[in-house]
Amino acid sequence: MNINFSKQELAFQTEVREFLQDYNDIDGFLSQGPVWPQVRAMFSAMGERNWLALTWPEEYGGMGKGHSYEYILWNEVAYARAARNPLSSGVVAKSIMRYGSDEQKQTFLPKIRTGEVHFSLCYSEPEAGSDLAGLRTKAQLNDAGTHYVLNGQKCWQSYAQDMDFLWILARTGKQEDRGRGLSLFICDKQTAGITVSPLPTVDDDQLNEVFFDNVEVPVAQRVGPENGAWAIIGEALADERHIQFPPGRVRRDLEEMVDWLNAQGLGDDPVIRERMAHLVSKVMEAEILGLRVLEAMEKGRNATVDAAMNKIVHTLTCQDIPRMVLDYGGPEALVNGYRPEQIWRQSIMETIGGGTSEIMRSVVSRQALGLKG
Amino acid sequence: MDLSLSEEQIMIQDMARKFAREELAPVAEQLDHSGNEEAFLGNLKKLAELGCMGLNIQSQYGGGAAGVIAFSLAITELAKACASTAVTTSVTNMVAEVIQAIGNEEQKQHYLPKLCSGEYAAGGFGLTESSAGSDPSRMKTRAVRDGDDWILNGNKIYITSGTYAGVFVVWAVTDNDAKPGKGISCFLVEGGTPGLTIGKPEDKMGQKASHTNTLFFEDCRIPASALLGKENDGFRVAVGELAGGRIGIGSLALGVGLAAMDYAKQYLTEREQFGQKLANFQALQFMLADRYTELEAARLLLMQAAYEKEQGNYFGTAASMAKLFATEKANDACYTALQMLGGNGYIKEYPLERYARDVRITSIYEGTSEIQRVIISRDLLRTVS
Ligand SMILES: Cc1cc2nc3c(=O)[nH]c(=O)nc-3n(C[C@H](O)[C@H](O)[C@H](O)COP(=O)(O)OP(=O)(O)OC[C@H]3O[C@@H](n4cnc5c(N)ncnc54)[C@H](O)[C@@H]3O)c2cc1C
Ligand SMILES: Cc1cc2nc3c(=O)[nH]c(=O)nc-3n(C[C@H](O)[C@H](O)[C@H](O)COP(=O)(O)OP(=O)(O)OC[C@H]3O[C@@H](n4cnc5c(N)ncnc54)[C@H](O)[C@@H]3O)c2cc1C
Repeated sequence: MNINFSKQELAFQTEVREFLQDYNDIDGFLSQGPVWPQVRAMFSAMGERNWLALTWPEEYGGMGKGHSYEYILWNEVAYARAARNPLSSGVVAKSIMRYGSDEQKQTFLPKIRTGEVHFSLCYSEPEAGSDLAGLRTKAQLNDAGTHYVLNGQKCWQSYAQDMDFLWILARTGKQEDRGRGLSLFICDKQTAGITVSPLPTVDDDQLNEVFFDNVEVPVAQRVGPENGAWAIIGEALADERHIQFPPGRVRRDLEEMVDWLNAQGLGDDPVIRERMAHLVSKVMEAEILGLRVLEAMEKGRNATVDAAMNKIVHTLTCQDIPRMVLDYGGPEALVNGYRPEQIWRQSIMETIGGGTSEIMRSVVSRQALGLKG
Repeated sequence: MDLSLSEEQIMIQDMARKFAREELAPVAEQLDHSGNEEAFLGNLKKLAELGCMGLNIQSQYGGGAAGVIAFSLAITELAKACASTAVTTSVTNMVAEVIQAIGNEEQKQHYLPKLCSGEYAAGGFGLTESSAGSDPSRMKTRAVRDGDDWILNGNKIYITSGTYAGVFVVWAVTDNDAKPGKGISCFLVEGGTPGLTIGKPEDKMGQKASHTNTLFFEDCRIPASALLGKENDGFRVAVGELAGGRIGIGSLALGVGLAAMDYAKQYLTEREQFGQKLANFQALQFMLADRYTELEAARLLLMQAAYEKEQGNYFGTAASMAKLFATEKANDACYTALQMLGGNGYIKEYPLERYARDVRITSIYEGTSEIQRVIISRDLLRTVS
C-alpha cells in the first residue's frame, strides 16, 4: 500500500502552491460572490497554464493528465481558501466533450479552457431538490423545430449573478417519465426572458432564483440527445467526485481555529485540547476518504459510495470544527464577521447543497450495504 | 406528584404566547436585520405593562409575584418569536431579583417599580470583564470609598442592554487584599451617571436586536447608598443570582428550539419529494422524534429547577443541569430543523437561519456549558464522603 503522490505529482503540487502565493488573500472559497472579479482573474491565470484542462484529452487542447492532478490542484486551492473548482471546466466541459456537437465543442471548449466563460448550474427547482427527477421547467420545441421555448423556475443557483452562461436541466418529455424526460441546454444568461433574482443566505452571500419566461434556446444549444440528460448529468457528476469535497478545506478550518484558540490564550485548556484531538482525527478521516475517492477513480472503480461517505464525513467535519470554537473560543468567536462565526455560518450549507446528508446516507445504505428500499 | 401547571401559570403562559404571536413574531425578522430600536423598546414597554419584567417580584414593589415557573414559561413563549426580546426580559427580571434579594427597603422601593413598570426600558447585569468571564472572581473593576461616595474605575464587557438599561447592577473589587471572590461588592449604577460611558453595541452573530455593550467606568462617582447588600459580600450574590438567570436562559433556548422544530414539523407535512410528503420518510420522522424528546426532557429539567427555586430550596445544581441540557439540545434542534428545510433552511427568507444564529449564544452566556459541568460535577463530588 502506498498513499503517497509520485515525484511528478509532488512537483506539480509545489508549482500550484507557488502559483497560489499570489492568491492567498482572495478568500473566495467560503464566499465567492463578493470577490468574483478576483476569482475570475485567478481562473484566467490558471487558464494561461492550461490548468483548467488538466485531465482533458489533448485533442481538445488538454494536458491529458490523470485525476490526481486535478485533485492536487483543487485541494491546494481549497486549502488556500481561494475558490471552489468551477463548473465550466468540469461538469460542462466534460459533458460537451462526451456528448456535445462539433459546433458546441468549437464554441465553448477553447473559452472554457482559458477561463473566459463561466456557467451556473440550473438543476434544482422549488419543488425539486433531493428529488431532482421531478423537476418541471418545460422546454418545448417550437413548431418550426428551430428553438426550444423554456418556461419555469430554478432555485438556489450558486453564483448565477456573476456567471455568463446557464447549464439548464429541463423537461422535454412527460412529467411521469421523471429522469427519462429531461434534456440539457446551454443558454447565454443575457437571453431575453431570463431573470436572476437573489436569495440572501445566512452567510451574507447569496443564492439565486432563475426564472424562464418564454426563453428561446436554439436547438443547436441542446447538449446530447433529447430526453437523454439523466445519463449525462450522472456521468458528469461521476467525473467530478474527486474534487467536489477536497479535504484541504477542513485541514485549513482546523488550522485557522487552532490559531484562533491560541490567540485567545486557550491553547492549554484541557477541555479544548481534548476536543481538538477529536477534530484532528475527523480531519484525517476526511483526508483518507478524499484519497479513497481519488483512488477509486484512478482505478476506474465506481466511486459513488466512496464519494457519498466522503461527503457525509467531510461536511459534518466542516460544521463540527467551527461549532467547537463557538463553544469554547470565548464570546469574540460570536462577533459578526470574525472567523469562527463566519466559517460556522458558511458551513451550514455543506450538509445540504450538492445532495443532503440524508440522501448520502441512503446512497450508502442502498448501494454499499445492499439494504433494499 | 403533580406535574400540571396552576391556573395562574397557564394564564401567564397564554398571555406571553399571545403577545409573542401578535406583537413579536411579525417584527422579529425585521429586528434581526435592521435592529429597529423603536419597535424593540416599544415591545419591552408593553411587556412591562403585562407584568413580564418582574414576574418573580413581590406585588408591593410592582411585580407580578407569579413565581419562577411562570417566569420560565413566559420566557419560553417570548423566545419562540423573538430571542432578543426574551433575553432582555430575562436579564431585566434577574436584575430585579438581585435587588429584591439583597437590596434595602429604600433601594427596593426606588428601583423595583421602575424596572417592573417599564419606566426603565431594561435592567443591566454588569459582571463580565475582558479577563474575567468564566471566572468573574478575577475581576479588576475597583470601587474605592471617598467620603460619602464610591468611585468606580474599570470596564465591563458584553453587557446586555447596555445602551438602554435604566440601572445596572455592577460588581467591583472593594478589598484589594482579600482572596479572589472575597473582596467584591455589588453596586447600583444608574444609566447616565457621569463617569459611565457605554460603548457601541457589538455586531453579533445572533440576537442582534438586543444590544450588548462595554461599560467604561472612569472615576464614576456613586453615593454610599448605591452599595447593594453587604460590603465584600457581592460575589456570593452574583453566583447565586446567576443560577436563577440560568433558568431564564435555558427557558429561552427551549423556546427557540421549539420554534425551529415546530416550523420544520409543519414543513415536513407540506413539502413533497419523490412523490410523497417528507413526513413519510422514517429518517426524518426519527429525527423529529429525537429532537422533541430532548426538548421535552429539557422542559422538565427547567420546571424542576424552577420548582426548587420557588420552594426556597437549593437549586444551583438543578439550574445548571437544566441550562446545560436545554441549551445544548436547543442548538441541536435548530440545526436539525434547518437541515430539514434543505436549501430553504439556508436562505434568509425562512426563519431557520435566524433561529440557528440566535440559539448559538445560549450555551455560552450566563455560564458556558463547561462551567455548568464544573458546577454540576463539583456539587456531585462534594457529596462523596
Ligand atoms: C448553498 C447551496 C448551493 C446550492 N447550489 C445549487 C446550484 O448551484 N444549482 C442547483 O441546481 N442547486 C443548488 N443547490 C440546491 C441543492 O442541490 C438542494 O438544496 C438540495 O439538493 C436539497 O434539496 P431541497 O433544498 O429541495 O431539500 P428537500 O429535498 O426538500 O429536502 C428537505 C429535507 O428532507 C430530507 N429528505 C429529502 N428526501 C429524503 C428521503 N428520501 N429520505 C430522507 N430524507 C429526505 C433532506 O435531506 C432534507 O433534510 C444549492 C443549495 C445550497 C444550500
Ligand atoms: C451576547 C452576550 C450577552 C452577554 N450578556 C452579559 C451580561 O448581561 N452581563 C454579563 O456580566 N455578562 C454578559 N455576557 C458575558 C458572558 O456571560 C461571558 O461571555 C461568559 O460567561 C463566558 O466568559 P468569557 O467570554 O470570558 O469566556 P472564557 O471564560 O474566556 O471561556 C472560554 C472557554 O473556556 C472554557 N472554560 C473556562 N473555564 C473553564 C474551566 N474551569 N473548565 C473548563 N472549561 C473552561 C469556557 O467554557 C469557554 O468555552 C454576555 C455575553 C454575550 C456574548
